Amino acid sequence: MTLALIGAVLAASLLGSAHCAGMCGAFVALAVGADDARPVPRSLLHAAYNGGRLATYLTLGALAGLAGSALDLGASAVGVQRAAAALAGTLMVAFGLGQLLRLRGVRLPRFRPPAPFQRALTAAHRGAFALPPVARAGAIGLLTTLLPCGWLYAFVIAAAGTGDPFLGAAAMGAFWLGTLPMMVIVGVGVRAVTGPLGRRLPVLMPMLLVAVGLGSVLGRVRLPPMHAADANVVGVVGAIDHVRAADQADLPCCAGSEGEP
Amino acid sequence: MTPATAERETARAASAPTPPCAHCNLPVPAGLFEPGADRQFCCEACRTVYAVIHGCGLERYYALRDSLAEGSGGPARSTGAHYEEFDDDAFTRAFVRQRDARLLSAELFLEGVHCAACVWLVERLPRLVPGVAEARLDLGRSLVRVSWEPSRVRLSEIARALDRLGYAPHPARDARAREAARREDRRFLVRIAVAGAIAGNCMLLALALYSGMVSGIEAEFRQFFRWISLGLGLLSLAWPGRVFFRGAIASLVARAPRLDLPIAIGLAAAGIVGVVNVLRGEGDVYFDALTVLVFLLLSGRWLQHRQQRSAADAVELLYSLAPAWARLVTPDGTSRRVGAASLRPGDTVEVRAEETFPADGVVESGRTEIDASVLTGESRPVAVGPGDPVHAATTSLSGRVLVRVQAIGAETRVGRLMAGVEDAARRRAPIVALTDRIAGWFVLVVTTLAAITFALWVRHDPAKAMESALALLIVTCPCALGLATPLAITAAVGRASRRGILVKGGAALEHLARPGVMLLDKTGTVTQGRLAVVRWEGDADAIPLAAALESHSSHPVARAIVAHAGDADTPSASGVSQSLGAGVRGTVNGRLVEVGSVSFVADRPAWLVEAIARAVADALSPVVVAVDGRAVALAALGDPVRDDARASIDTLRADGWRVRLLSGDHPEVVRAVGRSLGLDERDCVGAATPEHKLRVVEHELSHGTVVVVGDGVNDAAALARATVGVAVSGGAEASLAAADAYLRTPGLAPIVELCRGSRRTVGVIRRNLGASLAYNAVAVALCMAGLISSLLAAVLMPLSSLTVVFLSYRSRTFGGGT
Repeated sequence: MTLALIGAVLAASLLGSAHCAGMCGAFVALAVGADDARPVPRSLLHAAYNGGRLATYLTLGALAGLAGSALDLGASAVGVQRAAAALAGTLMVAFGLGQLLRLRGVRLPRFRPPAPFQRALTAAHRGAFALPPVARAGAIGLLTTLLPCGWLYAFVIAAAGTGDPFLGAAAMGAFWLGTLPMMVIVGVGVRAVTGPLGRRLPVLMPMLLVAVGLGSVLGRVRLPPMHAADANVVGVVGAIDHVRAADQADLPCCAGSEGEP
Repeated sequence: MTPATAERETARAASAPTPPCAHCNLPVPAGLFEPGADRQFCCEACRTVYAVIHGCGLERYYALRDSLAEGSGGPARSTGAHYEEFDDDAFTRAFVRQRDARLLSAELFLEGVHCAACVWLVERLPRLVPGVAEARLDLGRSLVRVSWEPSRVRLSEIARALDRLGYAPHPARDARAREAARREDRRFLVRIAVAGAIAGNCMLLALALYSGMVSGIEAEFRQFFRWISLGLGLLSLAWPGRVFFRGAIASLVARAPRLDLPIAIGLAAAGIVGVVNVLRGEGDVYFDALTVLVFLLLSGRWLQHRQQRSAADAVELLYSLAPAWARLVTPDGTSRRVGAASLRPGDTVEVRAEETFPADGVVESGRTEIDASVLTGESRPVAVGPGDPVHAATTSLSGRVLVRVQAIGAETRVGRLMAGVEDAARRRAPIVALTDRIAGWFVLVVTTLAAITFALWVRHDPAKAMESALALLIVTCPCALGLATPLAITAAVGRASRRGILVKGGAALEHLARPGVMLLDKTGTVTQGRLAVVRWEGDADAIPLAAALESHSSHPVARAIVAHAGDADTPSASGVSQSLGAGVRGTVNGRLVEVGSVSFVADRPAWLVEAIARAVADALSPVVVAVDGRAVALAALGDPVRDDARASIDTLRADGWRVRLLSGDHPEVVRAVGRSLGLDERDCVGAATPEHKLRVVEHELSHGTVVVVGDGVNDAAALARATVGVAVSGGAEASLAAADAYLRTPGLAPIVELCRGSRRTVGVIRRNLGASLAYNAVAVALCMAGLISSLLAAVLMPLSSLTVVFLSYRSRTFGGGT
């Protein structure tokens, strides 16, 4: 039911992935760089690196979805529906707007990761670089998620907004898919890849975030309801309500057999 | 926010002079711009990644990225050299090979290569430089093999591109031999890995079979496991174990029994019995023991191999002594950098202060002092002027000279010395390992005993006769013998290295265990290897005055006097003028101070004359200090003897070594040092050239073991020729390469420890061999008596190896203990 959201995430990720090329290009380069001892097929290294990324993205998405579902559960107990989606959307919009304000020169407080985190991350990467080629590529891919990237975490918030671990993972899978082409062709230099898009990227990215966030809040990105009862159902409580309602309704599949014992 | 607003933002952002993000190059939002900061970042992630990349030492990524993006040279730390010499005919002949009809290839040594990112950068060369077909970087050795189309690009262009990336290229020598050695290493490791994997699987199957013996096992499972064991065992023999059979055959052909022969016999016997028993469906299969032994033996051999290999790299390092470059003076008087290999006799080269001479030649103009200690061992600088000969690998200390080239490369004195090292290393008698010496007897004895066993039993019980004879061959497989030496040596080498003593191979330990003649180089070995003020006679107040003057010079005498003054407040000197090779004059605290040779200062009171005589008698260099024209003090300079020298030499002599001094320094100096160490005058040889040293070593070799301890290139040939060459701390790279052992801690005490540790190591080896032989004797007796079942044989076989492993690692060889 949030297929459209996932589609939107995919589109945004694809359009904004030039940022990923710029930021992670170095790591891609190190991950797929040839080694002296054993020539490893480049495709295998790409697979390992992007597989590593996918693994952590999916985990993160599932965890975010789980957190979202917990939020929905708690919020529905006090009578608020689709709290996660609303909150996530709002956060994304706020984040996007914040970025746009920064472009105008407005100084906003920012999060800076603590120094020990930085050191641990450096140590982890150094450890990863020392590994044999395929393991190195995989490890660098796994570590990518730990980079304090606002763009990535904006989509983790979107994943939380789905309020479902599977959908959260799916959303992050879509994000991964969107970044994939860029991450594969990167390595010839970010400027060559981003081309004229590069200059506009700082504006484009927050706008994409705002768009996805707004869509999430307004629920417009959801697919048209397939069933009347579905329209208001998001999250676990909604689903339970739906099942309860189904007791009374005539269900096409099992009404016949259960109706006449 | 509407798209229209965004458009305006875009326009504003584009028009604002935003700097690019230091990491991703995208514009930095104005709200994140940090005035005054060195680097700007577009987001926290970029800041983090930038820090991570720098933290991992991968800064060069940025250089390459930029150069790729802009299609031109990047801003990396380049030397800016033009590398025209790479296109010279001489260079091409020496370093460039025809790879195929279209491509040329060359191997270049790159400076500053240190990680996988460098590999990535360098291997992008074909994209950076059109015409380059391939660039393969060997990270471990910093060597890149480049292939290119000569019609499209020249090597100098490739070299410039590498230089722009921050990897200054140099021609690499001996690349082919190294590549071959590396391939061999890799094959060896693959064999060990395969042997290990097979052994592990066989052990698992054996576990099932053995537990089946105890608790019962279905016959078909038992037979199935045995068949799989058979397959694995034969695979182990045929692939990783093949080396032993090949070695055995080679030793048979050469009629020089090696340990491979009895090992191959044992392995073959076990294999045959195993196959027969599997086919018969009864009896024991030995494949678990057999595969484990192949693995253990290969591991032991690898350890041995590793130690021996480093000795082979000796000569290549020597080339590093003479610079690869020279400043060729062109007819118009300017100079340009060329490869030293492309110099011709008759060329004129410029050598500036602190530079190393690239070739042998004669000084045409200019004056300087040279440090020739690398060649001669002479610790004092030598003044040279027009007409004086200079040699490659020596260093100009003070001035700029023009030199007319007379000999280059292999023709130079250092080149001939290198050839001497190579020759000496080749001529050194090959060390026959103790175990190989035993091997011949071992084979003879074991096969004889097996035959006897068979003969004894054949009349009573032919089946048992065959079984006992085979069990004997299996159980006596000299695996423990094969492991005894490499393991004991590896353990000792490991312990020694933790004590700052690096030993290249077991042979050195074996020889050092038996006392013989020890030839000590003086400079840097027995002495500290640098000029110091040994005695200061006269007015001590003159020390800071002299130091003030000498702090203006980097001459060794000046450094010694400054060091003598220590941290005391040094006044400043003005109007300092130096007369080359004589002394230095200047004003300190308003007084005229002169420091220099005896002839430099005119004033010569009686006490000074006496002090000079004393200094000369002790082979020290007198330096006179005069204030306002009056001589006030005399500094007697020399190379001070190390504190531990006397005690160490006494210990060595007590252990049975005959200690001699062998030095390129002045005979008087050598004798004076020898006297202070309690050595006989006949054992103090001075003015020894490298060639002379080599002759002394060869002469002594006819009497027995010769250990040479030295630190300079002048010692390299002697180190290589000696039974054992020991390079001491601070020694030139070349002498390290030629030596069998290297002592990281200065002084002579480590030599004592090395000798004693070697003796203990050989003791451990003997103990291991003894244990292994004793075990074999018992096993043979049991076999001959028909008491040993084949199962017991299979268990006992690896047990002896494990005992040896345990004994080797338990033993204390270096670092105290007994």
